[in-house]
Amino acid sequence: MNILPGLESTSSALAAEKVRLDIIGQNIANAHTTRGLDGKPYARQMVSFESKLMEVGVKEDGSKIMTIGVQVKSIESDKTIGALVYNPTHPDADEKGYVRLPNVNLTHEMVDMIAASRSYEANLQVVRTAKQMAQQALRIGK
Amino acid sequence: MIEANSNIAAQQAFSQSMLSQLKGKDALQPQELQGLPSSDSGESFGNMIGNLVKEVDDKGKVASAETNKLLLGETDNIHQSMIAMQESGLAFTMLVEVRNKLVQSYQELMRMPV
Amino acid sequence: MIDQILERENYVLAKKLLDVSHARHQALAGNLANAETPGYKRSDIKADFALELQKLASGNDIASISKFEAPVGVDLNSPSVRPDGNNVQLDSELLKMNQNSMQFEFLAQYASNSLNRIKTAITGQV
Repeated sequence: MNILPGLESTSSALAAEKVRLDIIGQNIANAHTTRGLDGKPYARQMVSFESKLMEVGVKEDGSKIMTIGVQVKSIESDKTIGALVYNPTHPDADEKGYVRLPNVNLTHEMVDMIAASRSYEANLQVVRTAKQMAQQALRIGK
Repeated sequence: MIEANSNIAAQQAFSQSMLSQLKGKDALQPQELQGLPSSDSGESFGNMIGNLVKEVDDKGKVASAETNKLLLGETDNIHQSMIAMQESGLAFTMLVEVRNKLVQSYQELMRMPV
Repeated sequence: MIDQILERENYVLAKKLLDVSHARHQALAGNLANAETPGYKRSDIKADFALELQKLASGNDIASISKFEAPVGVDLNSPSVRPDGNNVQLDSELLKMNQNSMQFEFLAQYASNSLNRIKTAITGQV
C-alpha cells in the first residue's frame, strides 16, 4: 500500500546519494595512498548517475503510471595522472626520487561532498512534505 | 318597521345569493378524490426514495472500489479514498434521516384523533 | 438527490485540484531525485493547465471537470544552469514543493469543511 506520494523516486535518490557520499569518503581517506591494491597510486573513483523509470501504479485502463527515479550508472576510476613530488626518502620513490601522488584534489572532493549532502537533505525534505500531505488527507471529514 | 323589514329582506336575499354560490362549488365527495390528477412534478414520492437508495448504493460501491485500489497498491491517492468514504457516509446519513422523518410523521398521523 | 448537493462547482474543482496537487508532488519529487543526473530536464504540470481548467469551469458541465486528467509534461522552458544540460534548480524546486504542499492542505481543509457543513445540514447536529 503506497500512502506517501512520490516515495519511490525519493528513496532511489537517497540510496544513490548515499553511494556518492560513500565514494567521496573513500576518495578523501585515500588522498595520500601512494601504493594502492594494484601497486599503483590510488585512482580517484567517480560516480555517474542516470535516470530510471519506476512504476508507481496502474490506471483504470491498465496503463502504468511511471515516475522518474535515479540510479548509479557506474563507478569509474579517474584516469588523470596525479602529481609528482620529489621525495627521495619515501619508500615508494622511483629511481629518480619522485613519488607519484593520487589524483585526489581535496578541495574538489569537499565541494562534491557539500553538493551531495545538500541533495540528500532536499530529498529528506521531500519525504517530510509527503508525510505532511498524507496526514492532511487523512484528516478530511474529521 | 318597514325599513327594518326591507333590511332583513335584503339580508336574506344577500345570504341566498351567497348560499347559491357556495352550492355551485360542490364539496368533493370521497370517490371523486381518486379521479384527481397527481402532482405534475413527474416523479412520485416512492420513485424519489428508490433513487436515493440507489445513489447511496452507488456511492458505497465507488468508495469501496477506491479503497480496494489503495489496499492493493495500485494507486497512492489516499485523498480520493477519504473523500469517497465521507461522501458515501453522507449519503447514508441522509437516507437514515429521511427514514426517521417518515417514521415520525407516520406516528404523528396515527396519533391524530379521527 | 445527494449528487445534486455534491455537484457544486467549488467542491468539484477542489477535488480535481487535489489530484493535480498530488501529481505535481510526484513530478517535483522526481525532479529533486534527478537534480544531479546529467541531461535530465525537469517535469511539471503543463503551463496551459490553468487556462484549460478555467475554460471547463466557465462552461456549464460540472461533471466534465472531474473527468479532466492532470497533465504532467516535461518543462523545456526552464533555463539550464549546468553545463551537462540538467535544468533542475534545487532551491526553486523546494520552494515549489512547499507551495504545493500548502495548496494541498488548503484544498483538503476546504473539501473537509464542505462535507461537514452538508452533514450538519442533514442531521441538524453540529
